[in-house]
Amino acid sequence: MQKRAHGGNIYEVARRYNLAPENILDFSASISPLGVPEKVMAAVEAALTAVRYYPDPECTSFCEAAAAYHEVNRQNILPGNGAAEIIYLITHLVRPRRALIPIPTFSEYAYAVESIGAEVISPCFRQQGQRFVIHKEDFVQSIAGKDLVFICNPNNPTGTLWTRDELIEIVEVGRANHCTVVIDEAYLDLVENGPAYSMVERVRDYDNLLILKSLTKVYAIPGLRIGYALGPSRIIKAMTLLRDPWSVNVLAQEAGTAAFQESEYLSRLQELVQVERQYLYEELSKIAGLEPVYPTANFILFDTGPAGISAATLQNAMATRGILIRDCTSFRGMGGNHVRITVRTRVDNERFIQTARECLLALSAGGG
Amino acid sequence: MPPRQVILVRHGETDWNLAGRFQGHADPGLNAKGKSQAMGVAELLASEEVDVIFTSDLARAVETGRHIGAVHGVPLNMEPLLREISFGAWEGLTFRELQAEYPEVLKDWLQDPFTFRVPGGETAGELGERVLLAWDKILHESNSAQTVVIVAHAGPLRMLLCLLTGMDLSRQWEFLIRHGEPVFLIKSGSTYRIMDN
Repeated sequence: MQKRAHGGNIYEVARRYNLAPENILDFSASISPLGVPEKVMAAVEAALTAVRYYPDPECTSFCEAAAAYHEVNRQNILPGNGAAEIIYLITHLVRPRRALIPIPTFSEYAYAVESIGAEVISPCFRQQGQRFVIHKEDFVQSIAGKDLVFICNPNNPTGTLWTRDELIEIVEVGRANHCTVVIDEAYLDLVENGPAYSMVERVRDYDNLLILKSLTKVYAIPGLRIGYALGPSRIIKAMTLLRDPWSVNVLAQEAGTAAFQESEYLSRLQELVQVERQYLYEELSKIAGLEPVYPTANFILFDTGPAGISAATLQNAMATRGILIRDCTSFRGMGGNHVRITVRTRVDNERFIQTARECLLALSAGGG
Repeated sequence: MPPRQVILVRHGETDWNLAGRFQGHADPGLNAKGKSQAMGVAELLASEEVDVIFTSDLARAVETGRHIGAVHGVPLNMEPLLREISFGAWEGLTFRELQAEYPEVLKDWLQDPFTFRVPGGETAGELGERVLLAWDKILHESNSAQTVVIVAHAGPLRMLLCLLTGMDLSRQWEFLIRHGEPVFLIKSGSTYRIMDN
């Protein structure tokens, strides 16, 4: 059976390297380093007594908060047990024969499509200097004959950004071809000038566009699972009928509702990410043998190939030193020499850089 | 007088490099790619007026140096002080094999690779002292030479780069010389300057 690898599995690493989970510095999952925001944590604590009741299957407060936040109707919002649940729901609703997914990207899109026995067509992003790019015209042309398209914007793990004009063209060509287009904006809040790339304000214009949003990464609540989709009421209603009515638990609903009031936390995080991703990019560029890809969100991809060291070896060496990084070999369309790290605070980032320098030096002397 | 120009060259690739085996003082020869890298660097240096060549006495360096020497008609000075750091009992093993066979020692080494001694091997500090002795010897034996070529390994070459440019050894991570790649250094005041080639 194929293992479904993702970042952030600190329990497995703690067991394997005999470390205490609290001593592991996790650079593998792209989660906010600022911790759970105060209002979110307070909402979770206040909701604890409500765990004796079933959660509200409609997620009324949460959906109203999301609708108000994005200035759309309540009927355009679907809550989910993380955005991952919605990836499976839309796939089961559309039941595509063939889906278009540019790779390397978040693995769950392809897993969902394959889980219903459909075919995945995957054009590749190619590295060009410090960026991963895709031939956009060829991509648009390849929409014909597909029923479902998944686009991650910015793309995880390459950081590739799709402009709104490009996305509008994709959605319009999709509409002409009876193809549903899913745009995952999980990391878009952390992109500089992110709203300019978002399709949220165009969500009313199309009947084949679904936008995914995640609260997990920005508000540091991956253990709670909460995400949502914005889309036409027809699709939202149909997915509501498919979904487990209690998939979003009481604590997640309350945390998610509170998260929409955390604009100050979000600004603080955006500022930190902008400064620190530049710091990490510049410091990684200085390490001989490592080649970082230009970052756009709160993660950076880098190539270990020039150092003659595989991503797996660097991951192992760093884990021994208590730092968890993401070997990207498990991303389809990615070779064995790419590592993804998340952007953390300056103290953590400095520790990462120092450890990476030392591990690289030691390992490359081994090949001397 | 110290030489006006120093050209550092890392040996070509070996099958052990390709397999990710720790080499240290173990002595595999160049593979086909390594031979072509050695010929390539010799060709690249053909237009230089090379006066003297020093190589580590390990086969991968000697073989690389021989191609350069043949072009210039210059004999090789084989220098054991220019060898790679010794990895003792680890030589011939891959990182994965080390994880299986020496998990605790590997962990200690990764915690502090610069002062920790691999069983039967050298510390990075000892390598640094050896490289310093090698440079003194090269200076002594290459008097009046204008251009000196030094063929060696990743570890000692990185230390030489720091030593010659006056940089602290803690900044070694800024350098990585690829297999068969030359680095040109020009005398500039009391130290050397890296030339962009």
